[in-house]
Amino acid sequence: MELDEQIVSLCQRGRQDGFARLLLTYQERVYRRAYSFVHNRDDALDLTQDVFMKVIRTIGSFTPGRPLWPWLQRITTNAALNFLRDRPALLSLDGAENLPEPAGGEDPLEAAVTAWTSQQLSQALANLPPLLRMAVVLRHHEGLSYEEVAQAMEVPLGTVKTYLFRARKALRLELSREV
Amino acid sequence: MEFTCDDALLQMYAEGLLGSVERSILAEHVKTCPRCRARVAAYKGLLWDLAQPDPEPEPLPPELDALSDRLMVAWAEEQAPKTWQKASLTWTRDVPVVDLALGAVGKVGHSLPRLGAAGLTSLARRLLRRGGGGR
Repeated sequence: MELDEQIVSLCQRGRQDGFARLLLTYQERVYRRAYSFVHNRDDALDLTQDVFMKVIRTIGSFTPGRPLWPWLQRITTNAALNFLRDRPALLSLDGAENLPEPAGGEDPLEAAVTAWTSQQLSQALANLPPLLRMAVVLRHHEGLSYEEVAQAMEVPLGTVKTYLFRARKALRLELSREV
Repeated sequence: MEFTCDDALLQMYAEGLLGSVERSILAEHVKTCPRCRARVAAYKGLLWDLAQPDPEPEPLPPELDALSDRLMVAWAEEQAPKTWQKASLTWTRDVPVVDLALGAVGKVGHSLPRLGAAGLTSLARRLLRRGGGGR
């Protein structure tokens, strides 16, 4: 928080070292968040650039004393939403959520279904439609509440619930299929 | 199949978002329904794993350093008009014209400070990366 205050104070005085520090502290985090939304390196780089260009234009009116990350996260989410809205298949799961339930149903299955690797989970996330993936990232990686996710994605609360239920069911079925 | 086998309800149960009455009904049901027990276990595992930092995050692209440099340039350009404004205000009081011109060039043209700050950013990021970095 102190670091954020220093960064904002320096930037608002037009100091280059303030902006350098802001990049140093947050550029990687913004890139990773953008990547988690779009799952494409070049698109994530473009989004990162868009985010910091917006920061350059608007940090003058940022309220000192507030943490920077929620603001950067919001700009990153908005930039990704604008980018993704131009893409097809934002929500289509291609039947992934309609996959059959895994066979069995006794305790051995219970042990098996939680035995996926982090790479399998990462791949399953990458396979989700963009808006569903964004809801999962905001809810589970960023730890936002359902209401906060709805606010960030500019959709009603019920829509967020639907996104999350569909996304997690698709993840469960895909991961269960792999083990 | 009962109403309690509903997948969305099971997810909310695993996430701890149900009220106490619904939670007790689900808990009783899960005890006797192996399929729902398996699903709840899967969702609990999924929720846990999703909340963990990625143990092997994608490597950062080398282009991030060049992007830093471009952004530093953009920052300097954004600040330039303000610096001119500030300089002209100062000039009206007590700064000689030559000093004002040099000061403005130093702040606006300024290839050295710009490259220095960007280079510093790249170097510091590389040092930070050695120490690792999370999500």
